[in-house]
Amino acid sequence: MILLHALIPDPAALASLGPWLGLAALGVFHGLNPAMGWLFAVGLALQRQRPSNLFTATGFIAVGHLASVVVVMVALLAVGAFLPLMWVRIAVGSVLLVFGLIRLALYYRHPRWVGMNVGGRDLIAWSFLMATAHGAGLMLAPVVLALTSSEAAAGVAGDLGEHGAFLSLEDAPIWWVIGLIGHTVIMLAVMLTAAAIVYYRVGLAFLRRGWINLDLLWAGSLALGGAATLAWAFLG
Amino acid sequence: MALWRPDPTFYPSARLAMEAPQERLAYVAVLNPGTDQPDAMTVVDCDPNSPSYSQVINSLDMPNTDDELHHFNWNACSAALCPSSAHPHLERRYLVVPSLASSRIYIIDTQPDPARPRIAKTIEAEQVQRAGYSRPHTVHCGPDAIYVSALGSSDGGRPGGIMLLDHYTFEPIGPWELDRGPQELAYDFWWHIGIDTMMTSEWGTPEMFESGARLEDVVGQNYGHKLHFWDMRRRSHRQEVELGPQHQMALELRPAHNPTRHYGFCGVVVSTEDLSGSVFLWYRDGEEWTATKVITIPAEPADASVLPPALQPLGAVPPLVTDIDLSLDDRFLYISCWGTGKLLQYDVSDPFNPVQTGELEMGGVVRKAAHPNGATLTGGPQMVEISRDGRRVYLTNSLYSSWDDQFYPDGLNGWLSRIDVNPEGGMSVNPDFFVDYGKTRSHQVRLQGGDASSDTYCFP
Repeated sequence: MILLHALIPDPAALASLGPWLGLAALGVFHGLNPAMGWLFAVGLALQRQRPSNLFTATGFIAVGHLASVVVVMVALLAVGAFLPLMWVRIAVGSVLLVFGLIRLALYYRHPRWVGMNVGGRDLIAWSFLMATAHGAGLMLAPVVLALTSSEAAAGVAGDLGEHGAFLSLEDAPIWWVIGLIGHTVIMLAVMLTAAAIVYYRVGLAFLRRGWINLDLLWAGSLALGGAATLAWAFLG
Repeated sequence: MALWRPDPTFYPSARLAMEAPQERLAYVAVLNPGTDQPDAMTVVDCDPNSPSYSQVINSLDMPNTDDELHHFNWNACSAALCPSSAHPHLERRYLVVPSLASSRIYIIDTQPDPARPRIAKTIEAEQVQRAGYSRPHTVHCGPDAIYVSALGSSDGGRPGGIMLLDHYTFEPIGPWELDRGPQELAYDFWWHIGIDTMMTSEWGTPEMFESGARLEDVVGQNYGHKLHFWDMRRRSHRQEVELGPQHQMALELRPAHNPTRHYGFCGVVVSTEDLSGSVFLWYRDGEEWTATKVITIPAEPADASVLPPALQPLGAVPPLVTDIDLSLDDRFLYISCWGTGKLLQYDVSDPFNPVQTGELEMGGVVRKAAHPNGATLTGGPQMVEISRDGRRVYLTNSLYSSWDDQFYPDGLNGWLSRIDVNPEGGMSVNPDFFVDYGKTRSHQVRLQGGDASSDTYCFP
């Protein structure tokens, strides 16, 4: 944060740390979830007896994850170009809430993927699929919207009635790019740490007790995130 | 439907699974072919400290007769921990039970009381046919679905193959293969999960086995004698490995449990050259698969007067290698010789050079060796199931109804025995454990929590 503070021209935008903490927390969550990457890296390193796979695999997985998130962000910008910000929030909140409820009802469902002997491109595709199926990008949408609004509030207050009520290419991407890269780097760091700890220290037996049902937690988080976004849209 | 922590019977590796607690229950499929009695799933108490040890404590009758229950397996296993398609909070709870004669698949729920299973769902033959096949035979839980091999096509002919069941709803999804290449005959299947390779073996088409073993098809070398290797990601045939047409009926496939070991064993029932049974080792030679015979079990000469009509022209008893099983440490291979009435144990630590470490005599066409408790044993060692820790082996004696009648025409009474294994090699029949099923025949055994042929492990 201090580094960002020094680099960003308008420090007032950092007044609200909430969205940044949200991006970081989601990165930690995705990083810890064995089903989203680090376990695959451990499996590959063990299968090929090459610990360097821990690094390469998590790297590719992070790229796939980022790609999935970017797709959602581009969609968000596209919607934001036509709809006022409040309606974007309502749309994001509704989609999240419905998706979360579906995931809650079917939280045991998982994307079907066959293939353990995978290369870099496969891992990017796999991670893209996992992140998309989990709704990783969707969950980030309200957070980046919050980033935008804090920036807008600080920078272009008074102009909200006309220009500021819409997302535009001027006020969104720089913050989003920084936020999403930060989120992905944090995820990668956590993933790599988890993979290394399991590979070098604790061993896979840890999974038998340690792998709690994160999918259920995540489904609940999606629904709550949706509800909170809707509340934010209607109540300000 | 799902758990908060992974099912405690899931293990990341076979090595870890060997530390599992001793099984308390065994599920044994028993058959009453050609009678008005249905087949049943029996529950046997395997806990030596229990007052009902070595007894059938429950029997669940199927709702139909003449199903011929075959190689059933669990809905979920350690493959749920595979990182590519993880679902570790699914329960190992249901037995997926295929019926070779009726083409039905029963889904049997072992909860809430594992000793009192009940039928949760029946998949009728029509549904199996809509998925492209008939005569479902062997079940394995895969990383993404339940895989079921089937010996006949939907119209009862060829090709046989593999169908998929959804592992939550048990609905048939359809045929697994996208490109089957030259493959037509089916029997067993399993995989090297770490390199996305499936292996399938060959028995024959339904008409070749349903009314008994056909001597003319054996002599004509029409039964299966090839292994097929498949790309699991593309669901396509990659390579056919010919064992030699004299090696009739390439049946059970036992790949190494450790996914970094790319080899396995296939049992061959009989050779038309000398009536021997054999075990082939398959392995990877560069990018290609190949197979070589590593164990040969000779036939035993016998006077025609003591042989059943089917064997009289041969003047010998073939060993008839009908099942093999590999311990979870990939060390001991057990071989059933259903004809001669022997169970063999080999140390296959060096898979190219197996060393025999044990031999037991139980039943047999001519030998008719008795149980150490004095009980008469009809039939011979057939289905072999090894406990996860490798210390106990459970044996039943029925192969397949029409073949039982052919090779044991004086009658085959079902039994279940327990073999105690010396961890360093060697084995003995446990004198205190014996289940006599009487006229009912016993086939596949599954141990509560998993056994040496139930689970797939994605980690070494």
